[in-house]
Amino acid sequence: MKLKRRYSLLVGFFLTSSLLLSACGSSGPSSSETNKSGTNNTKENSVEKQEKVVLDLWWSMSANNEEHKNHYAAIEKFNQEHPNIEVKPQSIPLEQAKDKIITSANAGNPPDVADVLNEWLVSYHRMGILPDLTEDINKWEEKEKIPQNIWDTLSVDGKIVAVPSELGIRAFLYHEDILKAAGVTEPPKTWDELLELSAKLKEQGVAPFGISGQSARAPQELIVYFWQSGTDIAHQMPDGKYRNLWAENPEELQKAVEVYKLYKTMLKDGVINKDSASWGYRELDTNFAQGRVATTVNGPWIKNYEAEQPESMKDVQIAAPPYNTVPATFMEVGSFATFEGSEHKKEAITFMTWWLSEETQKLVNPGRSPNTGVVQDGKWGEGFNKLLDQGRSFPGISMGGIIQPMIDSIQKSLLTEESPEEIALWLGEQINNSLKENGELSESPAK
Amino acid sequence: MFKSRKRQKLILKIITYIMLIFFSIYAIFPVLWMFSTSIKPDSEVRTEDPTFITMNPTVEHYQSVLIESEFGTYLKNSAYVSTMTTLISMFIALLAAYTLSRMSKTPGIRAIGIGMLIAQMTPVVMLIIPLYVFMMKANLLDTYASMIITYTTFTIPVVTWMLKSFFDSIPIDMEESAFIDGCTRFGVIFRIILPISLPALVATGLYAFVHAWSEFVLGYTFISDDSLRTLTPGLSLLMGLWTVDWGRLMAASVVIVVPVAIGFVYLQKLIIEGLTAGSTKG
Amino acid sequence: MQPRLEEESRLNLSYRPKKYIKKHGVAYLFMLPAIFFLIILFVLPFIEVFKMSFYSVNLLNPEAEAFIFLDNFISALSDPTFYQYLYQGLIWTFGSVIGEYIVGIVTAILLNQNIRGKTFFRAIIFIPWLVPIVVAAMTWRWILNPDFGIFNVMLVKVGILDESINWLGTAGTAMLAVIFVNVWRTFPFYTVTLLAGLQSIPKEILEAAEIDGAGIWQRFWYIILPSLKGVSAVIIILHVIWTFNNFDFIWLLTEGGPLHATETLAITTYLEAFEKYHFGQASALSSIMILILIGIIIAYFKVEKKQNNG
Repeated sequence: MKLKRRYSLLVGFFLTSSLLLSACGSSGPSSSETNKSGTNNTKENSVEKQEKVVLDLWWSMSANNEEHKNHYAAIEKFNQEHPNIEVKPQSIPLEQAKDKIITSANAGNPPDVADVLNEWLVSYHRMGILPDLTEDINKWEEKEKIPQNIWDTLSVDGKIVAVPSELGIRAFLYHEDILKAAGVTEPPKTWDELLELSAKLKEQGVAPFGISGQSARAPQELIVYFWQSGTDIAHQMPDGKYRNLWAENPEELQKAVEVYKLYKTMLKDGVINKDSASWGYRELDTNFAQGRVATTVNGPWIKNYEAEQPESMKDVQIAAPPYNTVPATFMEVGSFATFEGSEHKKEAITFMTWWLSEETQKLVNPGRSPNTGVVQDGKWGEGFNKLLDQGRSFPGISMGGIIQPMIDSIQKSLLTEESPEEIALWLGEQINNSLKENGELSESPAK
Repeated sequence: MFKSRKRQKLILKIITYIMLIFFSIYAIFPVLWMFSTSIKPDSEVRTEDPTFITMNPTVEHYQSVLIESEFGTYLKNSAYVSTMTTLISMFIALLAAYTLSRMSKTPGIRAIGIGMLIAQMTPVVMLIIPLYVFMMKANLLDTYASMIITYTTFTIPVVTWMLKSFFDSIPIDMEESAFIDGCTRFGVIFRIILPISLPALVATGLYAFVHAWSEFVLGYTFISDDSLRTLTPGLSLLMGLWTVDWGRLMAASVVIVVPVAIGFVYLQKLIIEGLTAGSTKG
Repeated sequence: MQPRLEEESRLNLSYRPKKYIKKHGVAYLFMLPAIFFLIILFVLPFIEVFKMSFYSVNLLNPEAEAFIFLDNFISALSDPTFYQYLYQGLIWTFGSVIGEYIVGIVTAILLNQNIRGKTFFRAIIFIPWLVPIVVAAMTWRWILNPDFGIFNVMLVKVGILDESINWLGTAGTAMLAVIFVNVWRTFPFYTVTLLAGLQSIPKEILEAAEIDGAGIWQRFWYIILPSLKGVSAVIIILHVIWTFNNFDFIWLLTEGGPLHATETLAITTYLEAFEKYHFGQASALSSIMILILIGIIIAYFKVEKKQNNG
């Protein structure tokens, strides 16, 4: 407050001095009073202090968005039920939140609670800005209502570091009418079936399947293919650290190679659009919503396209993603975290668990709740959530140095002549390099 | 001879118009697209067969942006921050530019000028954390001042150097006679230099204004309080994690662009009038 | 051509400190506010960045922080992709600046003519500069999309193209497309600035030259261009710095792709800092970029000096 005052005085000084000094000696200066630069600092009367804790909450919900009305109503409810806590929400879009949290938390000035994505958690944990919540969560009576694999994705080194708030599971989406017109009645269950069906779909003048080759979505798709093929980008070793095994284990390598073979085959046979390498999620989602792509793997947000494309979105149906050997899908867990440096961690935990309770979730997340006590409704909620068992997310390693190589590997397989084996080995090397730089690499390759 | 000259002038004029129309299309094409998107109903925003024309124009996006959201607040904040940035940076840069142009023989002045150029070479991404820490220690997070100070600093080198180059082209004689008349340095700057370099001042002032108007990264780094947010960081609120509300986004963009464009036209008119008035007097 | 006042003061500066202050004090006083702001917000972080480039700073591995002298620089310079991204960064920078300057000066001259509807055209040509970069990038990405973008659809309809081109997604056209969009967004600033320069050229000189029989080109080369020299130098230098360091434009349009075809050192720095959190490495890259920029600017001044002397 003081500084603000001083600052405006400084400005005032510059402006007024400029006016006064600008006069010439010979001509009489106009001595008009220009001292006050209209800053009316109304004194904020120090209201009698109650022992009330104010929780700063950064989240992506916007007060004016119709869909988020319930979220804001829930905050009000919380504040009424907890007279000693006041949650103060500020809407910060997620893409800004990521860097903003890092900046503020590393400077020791984090918010008390923030919306986070699960792929940020490992990095945040390594920076030492996330407190261990395991004990508090274990004490919480509704813990069991949250599936264990959700807690797993929110744990780093065995410690729970965030509390889930929303669930986004990816599923296989298809335009039923396009499939019917091609004489296909059942959605494909495996990669082979997908390729087979594509030959028929191509005759309908659409791209049979849609993928993303760029931006955040691409690595999420890639890792699911690895899982479906039975491998992973990094395995946890007996020493608790991680390692990519493709260079030393031919069996694992073969599984990864099959993924890049799939990409190459899909491009060569016209299963995917020829420009897929440059498709970000916007291009993919729009093309699917407009019916130019017959099938894709996507999340529940696709429902928002119903307003934009009411005609072509009518026939969209949901099934499990086709797989190679292991059924798997990507599970995006939106969650709340509190931070080291926050003075109100206890109150923050109270708020986060209250939010996840069955009672609140019924209010805010009827369709996509991580709490199994909430009954799912309609085609969107149900269709996605029955895939919960297959849901996985990135392994417990810092993804920052790995995301870009993963995208590169997709583009290599779509744009260059490099063989699937070369690409897989290259990516494996990049992953181990990144693990090494961050001190996460296990030096004991298990045979 | 006379006739052919006239004809040549006419041809030149026609060419001028053709080229102006060409560049106008280049400049306005995406903005027209933004505008046409902003008045389309949701179901026509992203179609397979895109067109500029809609049969069912609607103002619902504008309504939702201007009335049902905080955009009015953002607009006000941006206007305030940008105006203050422009005023302060112009004032500071004016003095610095004058010194660089007229007193460069003073030891160290040239070095400071070049230092200005070099100082702003640090990529912005590397400035985010240090500036945040500075603002935190100065207790300026979540204030207009944090943005005004930063944007001012960002624009000072540019504005200074541009003004210097304009001042360099002003003949020195007029100032010297003013000194003899007993003007102070300030007097010379404000009475002699400023009126002549009005177009330059507007051009550089616009630079400062537009910089503050569209800055994004530091704006969202310093500001968490929604009531202090400026326009460009506010725009992102119209984008979800995976979906974009194009109709509203485009309506909001039009709202961002149009007021400044109108202000610019108005200023231009003012200046041209001022210039012609000045020349008839002189 | 220096003013007499300063000449005088130079002679007796070292003898009398009081007189020195009297003569030069005002110069320092005028510079003071600018210096104050620059030191706090630029110079201090600048030193910090420079210092950090000799340390291993990885936010993800705080214990590993150590003084490693030149290791960050060595690892940056021994990476072959560094030279590719540097080259691409230079193409991006000079392609953009040259394009912006050409479009800027042409439009400035056009708008300086005495024609009807001048205000209208000025407003229109000025508009792209006001479009925030985020919006500009997203809109262009949409317009240039090969499947549902209006640009391709129109070109195909008119018959200029046989089939859509994936402008931003093809290695051969991506850089061109990115530069094209950047020129679109930035040229109005050149227009406005150069127009201000043109307006300060006295009309009488141009008219006199015209009466003397100087053609358009002659007037352009011998009167207009020389009088814009000072302004041009400044905006070009400033934009070289700005473009070379800019990352958000390319990032929002192509994310440096396809397969790094549009990646520049500025993007690499961003990725090192805010994706990998290797601030030491990012600082070293920034330091190298600053050195390169200083080199470019020294070269520019040398060439200019030679021209002036020759």
